[in-house]
Amino acid sequence: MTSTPSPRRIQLSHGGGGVEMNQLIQKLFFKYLGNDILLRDEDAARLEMTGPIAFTTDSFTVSPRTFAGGDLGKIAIAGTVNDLAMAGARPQYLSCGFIIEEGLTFSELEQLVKSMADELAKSGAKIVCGDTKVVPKGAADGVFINTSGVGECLAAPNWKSLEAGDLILVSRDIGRHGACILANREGMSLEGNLSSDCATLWPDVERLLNAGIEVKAMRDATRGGLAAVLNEWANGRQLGIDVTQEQVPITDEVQGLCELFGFEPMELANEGTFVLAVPKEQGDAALEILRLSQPTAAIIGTVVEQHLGKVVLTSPWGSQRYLELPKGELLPRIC
Amino acid sequence: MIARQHYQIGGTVQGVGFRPFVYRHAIENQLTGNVLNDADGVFIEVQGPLEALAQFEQAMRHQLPPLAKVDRFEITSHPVIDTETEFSIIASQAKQGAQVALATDKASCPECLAEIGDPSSRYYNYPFTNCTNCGPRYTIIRDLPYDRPLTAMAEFEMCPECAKEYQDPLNRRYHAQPVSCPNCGPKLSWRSADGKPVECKAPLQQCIDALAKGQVIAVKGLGGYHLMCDASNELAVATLRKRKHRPSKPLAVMVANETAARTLVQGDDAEWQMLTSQERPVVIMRRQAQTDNGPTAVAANVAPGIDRLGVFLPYTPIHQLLLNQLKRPLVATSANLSGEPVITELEPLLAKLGSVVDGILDHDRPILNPCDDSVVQVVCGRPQWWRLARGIAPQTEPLPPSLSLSDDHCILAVGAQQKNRLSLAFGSRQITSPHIGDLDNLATETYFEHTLEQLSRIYQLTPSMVVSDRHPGYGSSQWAQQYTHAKQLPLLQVQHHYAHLLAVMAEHQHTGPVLGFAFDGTGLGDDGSLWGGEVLKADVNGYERLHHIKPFRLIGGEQAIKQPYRIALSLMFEQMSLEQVQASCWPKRFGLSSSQVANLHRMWQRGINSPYSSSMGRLFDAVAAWLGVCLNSDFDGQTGMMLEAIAESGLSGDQDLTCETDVELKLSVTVDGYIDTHSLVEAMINRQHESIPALALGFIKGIAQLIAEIANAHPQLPLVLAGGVMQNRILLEQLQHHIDSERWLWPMRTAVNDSSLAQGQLWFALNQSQSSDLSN
Ligand SMILES: [Fe+3]
Ligand SMILES: [Mg+2]
Ligand SMILES: [Zn+2]
Ligand SMILES: [Zn+2]
Repeated sequence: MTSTPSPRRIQLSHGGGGVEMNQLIQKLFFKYLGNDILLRDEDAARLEMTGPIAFTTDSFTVSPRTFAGGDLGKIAIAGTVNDLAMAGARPQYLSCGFIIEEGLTFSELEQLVKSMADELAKSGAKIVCGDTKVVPKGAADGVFINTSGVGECLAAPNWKSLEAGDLILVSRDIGRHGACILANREGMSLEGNLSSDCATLWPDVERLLNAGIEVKAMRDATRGGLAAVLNEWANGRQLGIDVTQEQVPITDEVQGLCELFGFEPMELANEGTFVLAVPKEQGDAALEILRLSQPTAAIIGTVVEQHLGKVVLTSPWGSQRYLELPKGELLPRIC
Repeated sequence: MIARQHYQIGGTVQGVGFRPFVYRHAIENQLTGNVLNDADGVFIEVQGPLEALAQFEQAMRHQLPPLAKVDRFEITSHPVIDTETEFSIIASQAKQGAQVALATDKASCPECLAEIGDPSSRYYNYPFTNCTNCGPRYTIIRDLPYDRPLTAMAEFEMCPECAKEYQDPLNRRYHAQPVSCPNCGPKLSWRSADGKPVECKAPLQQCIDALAKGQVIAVKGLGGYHLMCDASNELAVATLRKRKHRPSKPLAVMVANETAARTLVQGDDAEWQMLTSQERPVVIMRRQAQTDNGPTAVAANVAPGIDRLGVFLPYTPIHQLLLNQLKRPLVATSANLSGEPVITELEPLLAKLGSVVDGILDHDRPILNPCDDSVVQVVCGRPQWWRLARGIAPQTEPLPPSLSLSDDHCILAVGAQQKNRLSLAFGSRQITSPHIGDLDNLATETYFEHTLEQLSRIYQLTPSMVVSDRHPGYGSSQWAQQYTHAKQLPLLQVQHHYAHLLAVMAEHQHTGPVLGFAFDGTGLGDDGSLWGGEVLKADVNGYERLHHIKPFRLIGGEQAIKQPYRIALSLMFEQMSLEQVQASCWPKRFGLSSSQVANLHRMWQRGINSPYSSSMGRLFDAVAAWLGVCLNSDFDGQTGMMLEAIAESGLSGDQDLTCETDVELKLSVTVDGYIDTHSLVEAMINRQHESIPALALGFIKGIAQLIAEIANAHPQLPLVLAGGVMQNRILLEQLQHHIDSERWLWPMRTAVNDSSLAQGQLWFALNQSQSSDLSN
């Protein structure tokens, strides 16, 4: 009988500040994420920035940590970078904090860090400072990552500038991340390829801004999905938003999973899909740019002066209903 | 001896020829005095010899005009006025707070029909004729009192001939507000599908030709447009279905007269009476065995898989003229987008159904209040309403004196999500709107508000309290939440199935305890699960949940209701392992791959969007799936109807109804009070050779036996049977074998489905507000 060598695992000592921790920093974090600022290895990163900046933070946990189309590392970068991009800012500097549960394998951690490096390359942002804590078994679930980021503002999109007549676009087909995680977590066996949309959105945003598109509002449709973003805008601005159901891009895989579960695709989370509003004249130009990276991008609706504060969905048969904010439990209303 | 009396008469007494009726009898008995319409109804002063007064009172009580309905009758004595010499009709007064009942629309009377067929009459072929005994009422009312300037006829000025008839108290058209003739009244027009008027002499003939050619035509009638096509033309029906995205829901059929109806359907006297009544509802009747496929027959795709047909007779001269000439049955379904209210104006018709129709028969009398066709079936000789609208609603009912409300109090009940109607109690009356629809779309929600505004304006009401269902997701509940929050009003919530029972109790003004069976689809229960197979001991103050179906999961929530096989699987998972299910014949019969079954099992096991339900309606779904009758449901109540049709085929002939399958399919009450489905599920999935009809019948009979057993255990309590499942005719007929129908509170003016939920909610609130301070 041959015994396979047990994988190397993170010990409590890796967070202790001693030799082991130093090793982890040097061999893993510096190796993959290194850049001139980070490698200075100072108590705080000193940054040169001018003009208005955007600053954001988010903590990331996902179960499972690896899924079709991405992993926790990728989300931890894309999530924060996208928040900056949505504020019209070029993502520049990120911090990164790990909370690791004792016993996580080195190989998994390494994979996550590699993913982070790959994702950073897409926007050109850098990790400039970091922190690692190791907690006893059971005190965390595998690994949690926090990232904060700053970026220089190139535009100032704000839903307060929405006006009747503005067009609403979505950057690609919706619901992939939510559907993918759901299927994975619940152990569904699925036909077809269902992968997360997890991606860095800065390149698309940059192209839009460079082309002179006046992006009036922009939001990545994460938790609560498309429904949450549109409701937030309609309600905040006290204008109506009309959405043509047929125009909302949804793949068969996502649609199929939603039918299985009885869920609404427009409420599913995305991790690399954003909603934007542009003046009517710029709709086609914006669409053309979005389609350079995602052929499923679409104009899905219009800001209107009716049904103020609400989002109305028009079915392919012409009947209309409110697209409401996602609610906790969906109890059937059919008697 | 001479005396003087005042009469105050309330109810449906305006716009029904009441004043000329009073006038005639006053003149006949040589009485003096006057009669007038006021906000409370009709007010009469009469003076004359005691004997003549007695004669007069006799007539007032027992010889009412055909459309009048009296719910209040007060007589007081007053001093004689010596100077009075004649009897007169006094013009209507401005209203103060109307208590009168809004009159409903009624089908053309025989006299009016005779005139449109009489070449010598000035009404010959006139599509808008009417009189005090017939014609439009609610659909043309803008406000009370019911007088021409306050109706949709305001813009049509009467010609001298019409004015003469209108002013003659002895004429059938005296004060018939919509009276008109070809010279002065509304006119038909023919339009192409894009709405453009087509110049032609005979629009009706154009329409007839188009229908005969198999086209789909929108026809403007009384309460809205219909979509019509030749019901004997399978292709025409298929075209209508395809364009309207209505694959299988049965379509109603209009036929020229009773004779024509008899070739399509069969029924007993009560059913024929219902069909020919002046309310002219769509009557769900048993289909006649098809003898031929000629132009008088109905194509198979009119009501696929169902052994009933909804038929109705023309109720306006337009429809009558159309059918007289066509001499074939016509599909006549409300013109709307699925689930939306019936369309009443040209513009929305073009916007929503422009691509559905080939032409439009239009007219220029506005429809002020939309009103769908009413739908009824006759069970055990009694009417059972499925939809209360044209001819029946608005429904005005008197409140028992003890529950009358003070002037500043008005209770609004907003009903359920589906088949919504709203109900208002004020003063000594309660009024319930016509069918509004399913509150899952904007158009219906807007119509809900329009209806409330309309009734509130007519009766000058401001709700001081609102009652709704407990389901937070119902459009009506959400509206009630927002409304009461904004206006700082009390909001009462009543559990769905309790409200079903209360609706029936309300009709009988019953307050004491009843044994209630609410066998229904799904409604939110007090424990957060979805109820619907409930046996409740209830009175107006509350209820006790005696029994209910052992809860099972609805895999995927609403999705399970649309795909009945999910419910069948859920019940199987309760007693079989996934492997056993996979190894059985069922995945294949349900058309599912093994991974689909595994996924559904996973959802069931982990409770992902799979709430528990005790619904009897959902049990029907499961049985329909097992019997292969319906795997995907396309409309509400479909599985019940299809099972009934299959069971019906098992009933035909001399077959002994107590076949052995009954025993196996029995539902029983366990020691802990559950209604156990275990043996039913077992029997369904392990069946070897029983016929499908026998199983369907056995299932329904099993429910009848269950009800009978529980009823026998509570012999002292009156019975209330409510909920959509109680629309099953076979179930009720079977029950009659087991239970004395005297024990039963039969709903004859309220529906057992959700459309009477508001009345149940109101009955609860009325009885609560009486025992608290709310009415002071
Ligand atoms: Fe119900
Ligand atoms: Mg974020
Ligand atoms: Zn008449
Ligand atoms: Zn005239």
